[in-house]
Amino acid sequence: MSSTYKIHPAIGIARVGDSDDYYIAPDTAGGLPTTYSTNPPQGKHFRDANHKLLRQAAQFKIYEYSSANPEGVVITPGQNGVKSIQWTTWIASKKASWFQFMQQTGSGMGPYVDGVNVPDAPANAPYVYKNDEGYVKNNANNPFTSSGQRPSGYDSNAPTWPSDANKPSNPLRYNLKLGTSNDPSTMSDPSRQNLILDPGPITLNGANQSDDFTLDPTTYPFLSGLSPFPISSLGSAKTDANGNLLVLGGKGNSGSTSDNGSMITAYANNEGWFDDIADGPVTATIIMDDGSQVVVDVPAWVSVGPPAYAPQILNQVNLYDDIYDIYVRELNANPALFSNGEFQTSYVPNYFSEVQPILTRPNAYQYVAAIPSLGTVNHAEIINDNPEAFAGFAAKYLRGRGAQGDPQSGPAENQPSLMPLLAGDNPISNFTASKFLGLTATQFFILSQFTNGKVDMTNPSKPLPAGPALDKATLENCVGGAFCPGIEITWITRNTSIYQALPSGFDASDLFRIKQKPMSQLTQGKLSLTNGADNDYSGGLEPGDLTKYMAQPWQADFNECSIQNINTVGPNKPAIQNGQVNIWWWPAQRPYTVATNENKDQKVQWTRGYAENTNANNYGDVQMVTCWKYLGFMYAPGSFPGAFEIERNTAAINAYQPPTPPAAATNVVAKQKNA
Amino acid sequence: MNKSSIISITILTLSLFLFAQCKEDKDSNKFTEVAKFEAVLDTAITVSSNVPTDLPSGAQNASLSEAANFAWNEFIALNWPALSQTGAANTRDYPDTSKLFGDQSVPLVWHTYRSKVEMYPWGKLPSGTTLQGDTLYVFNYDAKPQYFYKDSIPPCATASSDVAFINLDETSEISLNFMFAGVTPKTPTATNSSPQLVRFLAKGNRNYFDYITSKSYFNHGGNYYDAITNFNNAVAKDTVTPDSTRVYFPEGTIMLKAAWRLLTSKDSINQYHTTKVRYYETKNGDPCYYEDATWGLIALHIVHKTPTAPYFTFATFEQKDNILTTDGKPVEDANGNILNPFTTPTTPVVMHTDSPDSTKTTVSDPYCDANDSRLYYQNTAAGLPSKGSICVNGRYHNIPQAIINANKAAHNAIKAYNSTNGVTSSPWENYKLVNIQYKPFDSTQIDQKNNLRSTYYQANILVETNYTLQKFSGQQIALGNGAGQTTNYDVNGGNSNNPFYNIYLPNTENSYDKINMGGCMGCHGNAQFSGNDFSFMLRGGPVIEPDVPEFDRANVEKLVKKYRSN
Repeated sequence: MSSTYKIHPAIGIARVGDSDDYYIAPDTAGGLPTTYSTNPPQGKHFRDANHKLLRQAAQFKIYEYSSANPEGVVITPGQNGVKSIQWTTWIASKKASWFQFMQQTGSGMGPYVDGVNVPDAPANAPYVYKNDEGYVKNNANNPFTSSGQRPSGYDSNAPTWPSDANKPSNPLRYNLKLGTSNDPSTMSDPSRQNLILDPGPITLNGANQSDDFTLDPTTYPFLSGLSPFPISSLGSAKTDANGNLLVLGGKGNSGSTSDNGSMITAYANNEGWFDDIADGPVTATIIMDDGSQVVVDVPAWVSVGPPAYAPQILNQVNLYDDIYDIYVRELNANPALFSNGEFQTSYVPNYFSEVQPILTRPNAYQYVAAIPSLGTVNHAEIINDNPEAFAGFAAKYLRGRGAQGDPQSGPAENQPSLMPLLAGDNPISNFTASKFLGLTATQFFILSQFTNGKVDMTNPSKPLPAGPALDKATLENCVGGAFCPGIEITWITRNTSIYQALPSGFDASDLFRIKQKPMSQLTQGKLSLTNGADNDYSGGLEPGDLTKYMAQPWQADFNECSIQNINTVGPNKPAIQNGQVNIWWWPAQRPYTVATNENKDQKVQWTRGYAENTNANNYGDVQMVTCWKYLGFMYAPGSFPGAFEIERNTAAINAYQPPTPPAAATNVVAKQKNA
Repeated sequence: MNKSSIISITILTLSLFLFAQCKEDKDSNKFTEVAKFEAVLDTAITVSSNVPTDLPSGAQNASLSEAANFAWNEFIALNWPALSQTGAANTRDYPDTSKLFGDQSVPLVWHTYRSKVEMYPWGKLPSGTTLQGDTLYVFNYDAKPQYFYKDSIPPCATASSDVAFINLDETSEISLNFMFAGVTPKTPTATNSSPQLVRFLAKGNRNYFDYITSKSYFNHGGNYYDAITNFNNAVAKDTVTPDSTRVYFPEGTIMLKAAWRLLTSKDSINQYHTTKVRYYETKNGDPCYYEDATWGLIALHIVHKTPTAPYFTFATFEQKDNILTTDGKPVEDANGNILNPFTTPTTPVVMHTDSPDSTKTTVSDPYCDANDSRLYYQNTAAGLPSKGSICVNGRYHNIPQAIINANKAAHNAIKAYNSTNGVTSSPWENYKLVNIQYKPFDSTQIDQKNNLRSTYYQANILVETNYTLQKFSGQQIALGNGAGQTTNYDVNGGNSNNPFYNIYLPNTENSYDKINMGGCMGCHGNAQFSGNDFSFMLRGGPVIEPDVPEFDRANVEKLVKKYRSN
């Protein structure tokens, strides 16, 4: 009897925390921590006895699939011929070595449908309504230079600048102290190698083992001098008593090599900064009782992200929605739903597994954002909508992507007032604008079918098998848009080339698999500086390749990604002072306004007590580098309605001393991203 | 002929000393309420194009009679012919003082106020907006009207290029019921699928528009969400938040709601104000509009924020013959006196009970299918009796004597003006004030003087017709099987054992006086409670589409969601 061994979850998510302790990542969508390394004090869920923020461990298990167990069963050393498991995982941080994150620029993507003209495309911003062409073309069309006049407003510290500031370009992140340049032509320069924080792989043999992803101080001497927080490790890996793997991320440390101290000037790209966000492959070899060794057939990936501050509130578009949409449309994962290049109108979605999850999410946003009463009441009501009722009202408000909706009005992402009413992939610059978040194409189609009365109201009697269910739930607890850049992983998840093609006879356990470069082909200290620079990952991903797109440091974006001023019409720039809407980014992941457990009738800023960003220094961002670990968590004591902030360390936030005197602290001024 | 635009006629009201003769019990649905009058020298009702800025004695000190005169002065000024509408600066809202009151050949002042969708366009900037420099919009209130819904609405048939100022894009009484005029033939025509249907519009004046554009609220932008939160928090902790931190319209802001219907040969058309309107039908399932029809004005609400009434004053007018008997005779005269008494306000009788545990609104069967000249309505909300039509015999609270007196005085003033100026075709003697709410008071403060029960429950018979609206207080139940009913309890997400207050007035202790007001003000108080300073238009924001006359369940549910009160 042949068996296939697959690791689940396909993509595990670890989250940073400043505690040595941790909890196991919830295995349900919207789940709370239930399994801890050390139980927290009575009544606490997210902090240890010293009020430190618990890390989230990504737990991996190996499932054996066979004709006897077609839905998979977890293997356990000492049982069924399995002697032990040898886990190998390798995470790295490539952020500092990668291109600067510039909204859609470099992605090679966009919301615009070929052949559909966007009305009123302005001559003075010719790229605003065009899809991005990718790093290679952008930079080939706009080479960097250090001669002549630096474009007005361009990064005054950058050694080089694009020849034409009005064309898309993709500079590199750079580090003046380490002598690296932002010129993309220097991307593979050996001097940049140490911008990749690479602790090398960890291999654990058997149960109850552990090792750290220590960064060698001789390789990275500058890390000990980072200000305000040095970095010495990217986390650790452990095996539990059952031989399962736990991957822990870092302690959330971020710091800069800059002589100027902790200066942050932008939401995503800051010279000299490093953080301990990382990602990489997870694989295993099973040692059988007879001494034979079996390498798992389907490995997994782990990615480290910020804490989940509102774990019970799901994003309207979560990472499962985002990646499943790619699998449906690009990888033929569900031919009944999508085949021959189009959605199949014969497809009948199941209400409970496909429709209801989309309709229930808006109602919970009221606990993390100040949704006016008309919205909250209607959000509550759509949960009960039948197709006719949905078609009459809510369906008219749906925002899809690209041409979905009314193509005459331009891409749905650029139309205000539709739902979701959340900021989009790029409401900031004039290169490939995408102002508002759209449902994925698959979500939009599912709801379109529901609108047309095509829905199966039978409660599915057969749930997903355990492994795929874990894959799904893990991703459902992450942001799936807007990708500017996001919280855990960004628009690289829409790049089909990062995924393993589905094998013949695939099943649900084969989805969401990152295509990996074999670890045997990788050398510590020599991870690629350029892998994916052509937006093609058909050769597989290396450690660090998923998270390298994210903000540097993550706390800067996390602070600024509260709400965003968005021009409702025309290009994103210049910002129209009196024609903008303030729209939330990811309140389900990064709350904006909340009610505390002590005063449930009052809405307050989640980041109350934070300093305000100024032109000189983004003090609020700098404060987030320290104070992220003091923020409160949204907790629903029972089933919704009602989620309230708990476990906030307000005293620590108030005691925070900024590096230089900031402007007066404020509770009301929203942080805004700027290009 | 004296063409002076202003003629003042001061009316002396007799000292009547009519003793309280309120014959109704606590929750009676009928009988005329007679106010106790004191000797008062009323302020003038003036046939003038000047919109009064405030009640002369201040809202807190004014009598109902003074307030009625204020309302009439508003009505006259707003119905003055407007300046020629060219799109030039300072033309909308402005009277043409060279024209006479009663001239219907040009748009009237209030016609030129911006329609709801002109202030809250969908996905576009308000018409006339230009860019100053790179970063500042200049909003042009005076631009000629354009109606930007989500989808461009085509004409149903060939239409003139001159866009009508009267844009009837509402077909229900805020989704609670559809309203019909039985006097109009029922049979659909080629251009009107429901000739009996009363249609509505909402508008705001220049001050309203300037405020929402200055704040970027026209698309719920700027600090809208924070401003809403600030007021919600202030109410929750009973601590006043400064006006600058919340939505707070300036003095002089006026909001309007008007009801119109098709007039036929059965109507005395010359007794109506008529003008060209745009109304919406469907063609192949999508909305389209007709525009070259001339319809009659049957009701007009004037909602005005004044220096002494920051909670807005609410005055409501009707054409005199709105309420008809089964055989088409008017129930009231032009002043509001009962000509043809009625037994019950509606057929069937509507019954309503309200307690913390249960709110019920029911009817005594059978429904009314009389097919006569009366007004009738069909409820739509889940909690209201909706299995048939309910005919209107009269008001739940008849027009009080103080208002009747003001109507008489106003009509005399208009007559005198017409005579002096040779005006022969003015319709305005045929309109009457129903009531005015000029200061909020709780149901416990109802008295026989100025806080009349009829004032508390002020309602227009064509804009607020069903039981919920004729007898409104507290709030509407927003969701569930009881939705659409009025209740005095905090049932929408609060503690249903607690009373619900819909008006919050800052007091000297930096907290709020909480009032459960009734009628128009109480209903709009719910918009205040939601943080929108009494404006449901602001609360709704960008208008996705015009309502169309479809009465199926799907359309009803859509309307409920669009206009839901909570």
